[in-house]
Amino acid sequence: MPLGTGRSKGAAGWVLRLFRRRRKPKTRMSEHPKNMIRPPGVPTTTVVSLPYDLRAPARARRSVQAVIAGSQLSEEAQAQLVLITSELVTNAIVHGAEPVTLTVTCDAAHITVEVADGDPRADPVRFRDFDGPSGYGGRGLRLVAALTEAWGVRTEASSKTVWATTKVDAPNTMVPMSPTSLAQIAGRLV
Amino acid sequence: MDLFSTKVVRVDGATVIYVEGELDMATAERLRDTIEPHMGPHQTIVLDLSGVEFMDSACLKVLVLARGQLTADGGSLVLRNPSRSAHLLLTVAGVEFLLAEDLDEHPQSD
Repeated sequence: MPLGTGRSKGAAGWVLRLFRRRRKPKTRMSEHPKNMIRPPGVPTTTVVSLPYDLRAPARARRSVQAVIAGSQLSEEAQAQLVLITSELVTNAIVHGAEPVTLTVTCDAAHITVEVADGDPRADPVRFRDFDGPSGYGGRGLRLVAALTEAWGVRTEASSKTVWATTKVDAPNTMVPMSPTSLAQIAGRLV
Repeated sequence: MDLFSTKVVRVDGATVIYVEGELDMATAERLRDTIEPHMGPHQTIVLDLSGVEFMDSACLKVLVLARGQLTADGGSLVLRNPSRSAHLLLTVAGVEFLLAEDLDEHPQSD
């Protein structure tokens, strides 16, 4: 490499560019901690296509873990976000349709997990009526609601997206489900 | 890639099942299949969760159903040594009562 040719500034710039280029994502965006090399405040987005089968929750957890590993989230908050992700993807597999896509967006203050599936109907998703007939989905979403301060559903022509947001510097806001909710779950299952 | 494994040990009249790996919709049935052969009247089954690396609500149905059957038959199901992830799930789901600090010597006392 011609680093000693007297064009040190240019060479340094070239090396720097090479270094930056090497750190760009290749094929698996999920493994790339983009949030660590961007300046704070600039949102970064990671999109992962998930298999429409039982492997999807584990695949999604790996992806989220890769993205948030270098974040400012506490270990507890990271565990909560991984659990939220697993619940949302499980719901998409059980109640939704292909294709299922995970999107993780990070900025300096928030990390948002979105799970989209190919079923635009939002009715399998229980918003406030957690005690409705959709037992399984209601259970997972109870957990999501307990673990995050903001979550919701948006629908488009051919898909719906369930999202949940965690504040990066938020104190632990977890609110456990009430004891009665377990009785409701158990009653529904038996 | 095997995300889940169990080891079954008989201790003092109870069946202790050590669960390792990840418990989700892909492995919940395997947990059920592991528990079922040990179900029966007056049986105590202990699930040791210290090796659980991840746990979500997909396994709650298995746990709640197994506990219901065992309790109805005079036995019990107790969970012990929850890992961080297991503790998070059990706490936020409001099912901490499934946890036991120690192996219950008198399973019918509850």
